[in-house]
Amino acid sequence: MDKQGIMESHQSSVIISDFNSLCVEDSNQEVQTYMEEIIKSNLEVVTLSMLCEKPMSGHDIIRGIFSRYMVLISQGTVYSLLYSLKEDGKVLSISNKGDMRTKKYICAGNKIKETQTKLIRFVDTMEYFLQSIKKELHVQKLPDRF
Amino acid sequence: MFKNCLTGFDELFAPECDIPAGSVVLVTGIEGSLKSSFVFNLISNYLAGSNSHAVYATMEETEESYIRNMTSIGIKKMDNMHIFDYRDMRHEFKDVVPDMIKITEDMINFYTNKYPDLSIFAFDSLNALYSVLPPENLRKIMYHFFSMLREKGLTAFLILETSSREKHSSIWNSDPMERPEFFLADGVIELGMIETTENVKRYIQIRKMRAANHSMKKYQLVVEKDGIHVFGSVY
Repeated sequence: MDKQGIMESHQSSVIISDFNSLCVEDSNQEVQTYMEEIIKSNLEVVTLSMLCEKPMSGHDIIRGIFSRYMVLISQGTVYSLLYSLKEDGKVLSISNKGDMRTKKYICAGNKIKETQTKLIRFVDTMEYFLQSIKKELHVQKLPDRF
Repeated sequence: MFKNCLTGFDELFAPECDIPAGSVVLVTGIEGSLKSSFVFNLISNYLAGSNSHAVYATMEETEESYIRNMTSIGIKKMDNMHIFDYRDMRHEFKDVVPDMIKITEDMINFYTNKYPDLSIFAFDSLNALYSVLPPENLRKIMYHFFSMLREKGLTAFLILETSSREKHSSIWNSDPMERPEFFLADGVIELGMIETTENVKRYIQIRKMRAANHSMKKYQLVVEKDGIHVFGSVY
């Protein structure tokens, strides 16, 4: 999958629609639990994919993850991750004119290719993993995002 | 070994004794007594040439401000010291009452997962923390906070500012039920100033250090070109 493909697959409207239907169809807590585990285990990937789209603050990321996946991530975790990504040079922080205290983060220009490659590898790996499970289970139909 | 991290600091401890690893140590003192600089310097020198990591969590100043202040007195920030600034989060979530203990625990968990060699945690300051905690449950919350830090196995330095000498005295004399941190802490290091007719001297005194024999004397604290040094007894 190319960069454009990653971006398109993360269009929030599509994701919210799919995830809501998934929850309704299955009507159980299990899906939510899986989603929470997946998001928490892959928070760096989720965050970097969001920061490749546009500059976001810690608040934006927490709100964005909740609206997309119905998973609430702790402030202590998200801000630690952002500071850590900044230390590693993967993201840059920028301040808005007129609101110097709100920091927005964006993927660092010199690392963007590396970050995109990492995201692509992650998506490819997950796709392979999910396809393997689908084959094993002979699942007739799952939502498109699977 | 913390006691060898600042010149002369070992004088405050008996041979073979040190700040025990895993201790929760309160660093207290009036304004200008070098609490933040002392803790920052101690940790930086500990981390120099070490594989360990530390988190310095601040509710008071930005990372840039810390680095500027520390650089001005010859203290370097090591790459393995990670600064967590609560101010960004507090600004962006200003309409939400934060669960600071949970946030701090999640933050420590994040850094512990990322750096398994994380061994030191510093918090600046408890005064700022108290300003966002409900006063009626302070003792219970602080008990949980100290317990959480001990469970993580980190050596923790918690900074507590006392705004004046008078207030400083009253804290020591007040009901410990109201000042839970003093009996919950494994160690208390007091920094302060002594005024004479000729000059003002900064001092350091170990008031309490569980499982370590230490001097009760006040030693002079001096800023040199390469950071903080501890000199002989002030008296």
